[in-house]
Amino acid sequence: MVPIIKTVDLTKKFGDFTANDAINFKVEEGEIKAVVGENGAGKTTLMNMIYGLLQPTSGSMFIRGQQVDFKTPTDAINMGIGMVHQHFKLVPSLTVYENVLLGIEMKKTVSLGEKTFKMPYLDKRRAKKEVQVIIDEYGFNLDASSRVKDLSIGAKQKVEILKMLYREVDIVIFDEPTAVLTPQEIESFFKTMRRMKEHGKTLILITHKLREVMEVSDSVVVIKDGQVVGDMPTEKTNEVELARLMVGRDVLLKVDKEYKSLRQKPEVYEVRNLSTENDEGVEVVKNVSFTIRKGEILGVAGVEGNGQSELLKLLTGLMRATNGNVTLHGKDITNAWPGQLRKKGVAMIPEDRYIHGLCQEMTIGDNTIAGYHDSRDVCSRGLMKRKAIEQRRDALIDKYDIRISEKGGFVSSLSGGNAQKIIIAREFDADPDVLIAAQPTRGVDIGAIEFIHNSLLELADAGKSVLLISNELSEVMSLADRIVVMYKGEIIGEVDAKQADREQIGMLMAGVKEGGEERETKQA
Amino acid sequence: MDILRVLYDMLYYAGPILFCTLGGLFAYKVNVINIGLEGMMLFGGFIGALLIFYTGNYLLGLSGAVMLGVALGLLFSFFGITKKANFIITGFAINLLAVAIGYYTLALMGRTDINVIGEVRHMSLRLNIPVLRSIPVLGDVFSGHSILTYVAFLSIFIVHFVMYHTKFGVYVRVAGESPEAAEAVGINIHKIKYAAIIVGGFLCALAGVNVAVEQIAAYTPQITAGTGFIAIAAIYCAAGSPMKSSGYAILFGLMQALARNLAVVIGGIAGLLNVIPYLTVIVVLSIIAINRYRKTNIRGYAHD
Repeated sequence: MVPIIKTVDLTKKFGDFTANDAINFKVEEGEIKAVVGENGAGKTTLMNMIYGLLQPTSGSMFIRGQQVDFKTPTDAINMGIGMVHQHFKLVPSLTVYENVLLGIEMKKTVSLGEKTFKMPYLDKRRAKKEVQVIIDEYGFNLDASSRVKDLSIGAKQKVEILKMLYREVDIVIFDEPTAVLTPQEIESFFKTMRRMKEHGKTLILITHKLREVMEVSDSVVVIKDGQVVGDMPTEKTNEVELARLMVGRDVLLKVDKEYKSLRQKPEVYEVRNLSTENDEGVEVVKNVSFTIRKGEILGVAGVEGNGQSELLKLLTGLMRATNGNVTLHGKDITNAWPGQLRKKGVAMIPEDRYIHGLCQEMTIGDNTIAGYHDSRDVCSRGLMKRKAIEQRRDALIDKYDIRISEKGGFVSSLSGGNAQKIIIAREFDADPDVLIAAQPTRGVDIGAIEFIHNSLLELADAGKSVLLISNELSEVMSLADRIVVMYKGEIIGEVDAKQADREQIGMLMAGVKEGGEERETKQA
Repeated sequence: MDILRVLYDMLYYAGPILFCTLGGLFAYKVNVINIGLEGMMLFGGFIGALLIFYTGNYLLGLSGAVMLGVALGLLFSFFGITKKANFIITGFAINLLAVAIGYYTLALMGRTDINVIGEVRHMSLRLNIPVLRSIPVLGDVFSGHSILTYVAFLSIFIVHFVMYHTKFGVYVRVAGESPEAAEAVGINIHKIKYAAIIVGGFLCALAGVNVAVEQIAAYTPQITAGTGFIAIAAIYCAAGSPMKSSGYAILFGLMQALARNLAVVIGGIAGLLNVIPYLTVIVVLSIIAINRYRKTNIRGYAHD
């Protein structure tokens, strides 16, 4: 049988960097193919070429045996290829059916006698009806006329899938589709995938979650440094082998954490009844209360968009609280500005390192003092002490093993992992009492993840308090002492990390509270 | 002061502001700041008056202005979008060019203005619409305006319809709000942006003809008097909504009408009253900015 997709020596270069190096990749019709690899290994580059978003530097592609040369996604769609991106490409202010029909809008037709005329305006009623038919056919619980901005993440993903189904594509590429879903939503997504397979679709699943590969795929391809390093049927491999292929060495899939009793330790950081509203007047953080003891890591889990970002902004001085207070060592620090917080001993690792953590167009040295720039050590009488800054930079580069090509260079020249290490180095070096860390390992490679995880554990061992907000449930589960789960702006439950299991936290993330033996949070 | 007179003048002054507002909001929706509305309008008035001055043909003047407006839209798009130049500087260049070419031509002609009063009087561009005329009390307010003033008010509804009920309108909104979504389904965003800016050039040219030919019947490089910038304020006040932006445009028109009619009453220091419309713009923008700031709990962000 002719493979439905085949690439021959497909290569993509960005300047000197080879993202994909002579890739030979094959997908059979009707299978679920998993493509795995680390961040930056080149999975997404490969898929973007197959979908026409990028053009290969050399090599060729065949769809159903026919050579193709895609200039735009439209060319790929016309050949029956669709893609569901990791960051949804939806228009929030438009309705479900308008998003599904984007680019192929239906015009109103008017019949006069035997002739029909296309009018220059849109037929919204017919569009809504046609989209609703597919929604019902696939059993998605959705209303075609609701606005996308009001939908949950899981529902938004269904809209993306609808876009593909409406266009009658028969190959669908999913880019990290489960990254933002709850464990329950993931189950439902797998069901959708299997149903699509029954309808004769070919599916490609890009992921780095090996458990999902084992559960849902028929065959798997491993990519490392832009090359295919493994290609086998899923039943003939296992998670350990795939991890070794991805990283190129044996990896510890689990962090070693020693759980200590912290009950006698003093409470350092306390948040009580904290609330705030967004611009639309919706209460996005509701009555949040927790305390962190000396030497404790408190994890905050939850599906993205349930108030974690706003909680982080409140605690790091980027947003005002409408109610409640925050205390450090019993002193009120509610609504303090970031500069004041840092002086009082609160360090922060922001959610998006390039927006709130670093200035890419400044030097590494300047970034190592950002936020602490008015300290006497680096600044006197309004003048920056260049030498002192450079000494500090060199010391931090050594101590935190930051790999750079040029000491005087800009942060923009660093990889994600090394850029993140600059933030870690800067914040840890300030010797804080409390560290507020959000998504500390987002988009960094496995080597850097190990380093960051160990640093956080060491910090807690040194008697500091850590608040860890992360969308990676496994990260929270392996690092934290206690875990609180956020749902719709509230803390819906708290679990002891030592005994926590995925299912139980997954239920809380989906907003389901169990009665009975589990410890309930106190909610005012 | 005669209230009916003020209302008549409100519609009179609102016409050109409306054209610029409706034209500029397409660019606003695709995330392009078109500061060149003023220059596009001035160019329209200039070429319209010039053609009518030499040929006496209104339609020729109008179509010349419109063609130049479209060409300026293309020029702005080429530099601002294809060549990725800074929008502010590109727009400013068009504004400066409009004034400079105006003065240069006047100098060549050896005149202080391009006076088309004679030609315009012949053409009877003011419309007496019997239906409007017969409205009790307000008949005189609605009737007796020039053609393009009526077109301007009609355009409010046309632009609203285009924005929310046609493919082009959907694409314009999407291109500004989530360009990645548009690109992912194969919509060419550059084309949409070009089209949005060109529509702006077209409507601004009509504003220019409205003022320079129909209303004043004499072109000088000062006739636009900031209309393009007032339009930008109207667009920002309403975040590009066609109906609401038009409301602000009409409000600013009312202020100009007040300034002019109060001047008749006061005499003497009347010149000072000309600041009323501009002051209104500052006050309205401040109120809106303060309201937005009050509504948000987020620090240090630009919001809209």
